[in-house]
Amino acid sequence: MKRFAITLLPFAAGLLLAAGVFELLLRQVLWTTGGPGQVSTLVRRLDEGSGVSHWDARGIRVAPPAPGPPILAVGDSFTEASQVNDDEVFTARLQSILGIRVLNTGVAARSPADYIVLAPQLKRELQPAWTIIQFNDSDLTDDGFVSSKAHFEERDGNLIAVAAPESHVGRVSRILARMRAHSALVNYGVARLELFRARSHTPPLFRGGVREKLTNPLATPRDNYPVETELAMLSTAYDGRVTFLFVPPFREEQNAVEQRVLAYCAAAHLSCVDFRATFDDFRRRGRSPVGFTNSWFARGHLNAAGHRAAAELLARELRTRLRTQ
Amino acid sequence: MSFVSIRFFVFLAAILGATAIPMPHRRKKLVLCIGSSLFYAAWDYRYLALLLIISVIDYWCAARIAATREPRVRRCWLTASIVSNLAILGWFKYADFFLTNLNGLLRFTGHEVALLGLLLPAGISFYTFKSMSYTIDVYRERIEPCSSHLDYTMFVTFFPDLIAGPIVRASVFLPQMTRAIGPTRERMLHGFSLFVIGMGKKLLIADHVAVVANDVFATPAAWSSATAWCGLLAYSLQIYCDFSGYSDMAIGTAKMLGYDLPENFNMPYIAASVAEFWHRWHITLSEWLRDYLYIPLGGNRKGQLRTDVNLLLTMLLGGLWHGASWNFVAWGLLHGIALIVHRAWRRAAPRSRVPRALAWPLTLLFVMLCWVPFRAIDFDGTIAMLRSLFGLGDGRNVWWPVVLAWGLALAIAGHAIGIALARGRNPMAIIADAEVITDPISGRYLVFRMRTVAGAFFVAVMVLAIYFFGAVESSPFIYFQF
Repeated sequence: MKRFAITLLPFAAGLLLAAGVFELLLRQVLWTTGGPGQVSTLVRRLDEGSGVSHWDARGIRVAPPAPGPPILAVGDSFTEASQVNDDEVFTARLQSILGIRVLNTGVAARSPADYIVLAPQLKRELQPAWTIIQFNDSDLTDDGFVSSKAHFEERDGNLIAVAAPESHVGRVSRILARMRAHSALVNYGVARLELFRARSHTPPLFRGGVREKLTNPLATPRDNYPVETELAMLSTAYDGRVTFLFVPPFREEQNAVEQRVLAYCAAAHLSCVDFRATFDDFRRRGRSPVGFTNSWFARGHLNAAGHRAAAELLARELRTRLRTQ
Repeated sequence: MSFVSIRFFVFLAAILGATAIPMPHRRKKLVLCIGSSLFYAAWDYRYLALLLIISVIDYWCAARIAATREPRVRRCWLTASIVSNLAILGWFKYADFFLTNLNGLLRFTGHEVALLGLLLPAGISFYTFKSMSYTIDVYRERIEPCSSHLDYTMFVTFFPDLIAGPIVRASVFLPQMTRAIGPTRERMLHGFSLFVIGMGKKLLIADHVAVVANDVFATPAAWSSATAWCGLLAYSLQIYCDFSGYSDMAIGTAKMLGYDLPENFNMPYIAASVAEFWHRWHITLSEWLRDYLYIPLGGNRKGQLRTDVNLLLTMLLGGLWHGASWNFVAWGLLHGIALIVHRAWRRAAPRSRVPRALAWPLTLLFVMLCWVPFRAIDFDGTIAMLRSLFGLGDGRNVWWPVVLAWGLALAIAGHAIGIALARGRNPMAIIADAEVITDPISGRYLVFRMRTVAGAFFVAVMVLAIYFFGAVESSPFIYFQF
């Protein structure tokens, strides 16, 4: 027994040492401190971009003070923009161009239904003079109708926004959450496990050669989604004082959803910024507004140049809109 | 079933567990045979029959060859074996290629032959070559015919090298049949060390740089010259780390079970001539082509011109072995021409040697440029890529992928360790408690003993690095398609 322990001791010490090194390493490349209701910092330098984000206790991205009443920005990971530093996000750049406080409340995976559900609370607490709502085509179509999160639903012929169902947190999950909050190794270890699970398209154990393409039989064709109604609901939720920031994929041509968004904005005289307006300039220079040197070219989230271009586009639009207010 | 999947780890654990149970030797072979068949069937059960048919044909033909001393009869049975293997390979791999080219010729007549649309059986190029080596070696009386069909089936279906090599010859594998099967502490250490290194090559380098290579080769005309070179460098890294990573994992898996598979790579990118490159790249294929194609064609025994023709023919067929496409033929042709030029140079100036500092980058550049037709989707893609590389295209997109720098750094570090080991030094001995093993079959490799804190630390760092920084979506091994 003693001999076995002596043999095992260097092995265990080596493992512990490696775990310690990785704990320190992961804190430098992917780590978050704080949490909901707390001042928090997110370090992200690994897989897409290299940004350090700071968030106040209300979940607003930290920016230098500026006079109000503020402009509110709601959106998903494109607005949250953890891939770039605080001062590179389009909201921070917009604030420095306009000289008005811009409150960034972007949260990854949020969708238009969230913005409608959260509108009363955001308006009450932040009292915005204007709201920027960022989305892309899938937010208004497939992704906006996923029932596991805030989503749109048709009831009695009316479209309504339904809040995200409350998730039950078990004892094990609570313990794991506490461990994740204290250890980058555990936190990223669990995140990787979830990533492996999400990305593993496990085919049947024995299959007949040709891999069939999996399709969701419940999916509605994209043309059938009530895009115009969703836009009207978003506008109404923020009392019509909104600018839509539509972010289409850089590599794809304009699709039907994008055309419908732009047509509706024009018909209803809504403020709308189509980020595609910047694409030609990027293409001429052989650059891309999305993607990073540590991820992909022209795919993924906005990079610093993309955020700068978005801020300039929004500034042009908002100057006109705010002047006429 | 990919080596880098949870499913494979479960499968491997089950096979190791089953072979660890004390039972008669023959029954363990049966377990391995069944396990290997399941491994293959997991890809496509319909083609399992094909694998078994090949094993039956070659076993039977070899038995007939050995049963007679009559040269004509022996030759007949050898021909039967070779023709059946090549017919199976040709039907599944080259029929549509032939028909597509035939349609090209028939275009003017208005006729068109329908393509067969056959699915390429995984690993068919590897196991047909493996099996053919057996009948040829029996015919040449280099090996005794296998006395047990179970042994031969196990040789053909042995799962570690079944899908993408190394191409194990019967003369290497069959003598190991008497070994006890199953994991031991020593075998697990050897196998695990090789497996982790191979997995690191695949997940930490190949799959990451694949993103760059895939993107650049998908639209070669869109990129600036510098980015096109990044794409080519990425592919050069990817194909090496992907294939040699697979070979390491295959050799490692076989070692866990108690078998030695031959070395398949030996730092090919440090080669200072194309001839040296082929002694270091896909060694089992180049040796197979040398022994079963180049030498029977006459090798270098029939004059200079015939030697050059033999060399060119061998490389052309070697290119075609990789896939049914003129791009692979072009790749083989380029290497064949380079080998002929190298021979001519050596003949013309036997005493003058190009300094290694010049020969190495020239060889590397040539090998990299040859990857262009190998990787490009078609001939137009090859031309577009070459135009982008030499700044003749209109592409402007600029991308400096950081992942390429990381991949390159890891590959250089690996090569530095490899060169040190080749010179008889072992820098890993101190930092990682690693021992260099020189195996007559598997060549030189490191075994991480994990007896010291530093040794356990190093291995844990490797495993954690693969877990945390390895590519999440692993792309299929490149050589699976061949």
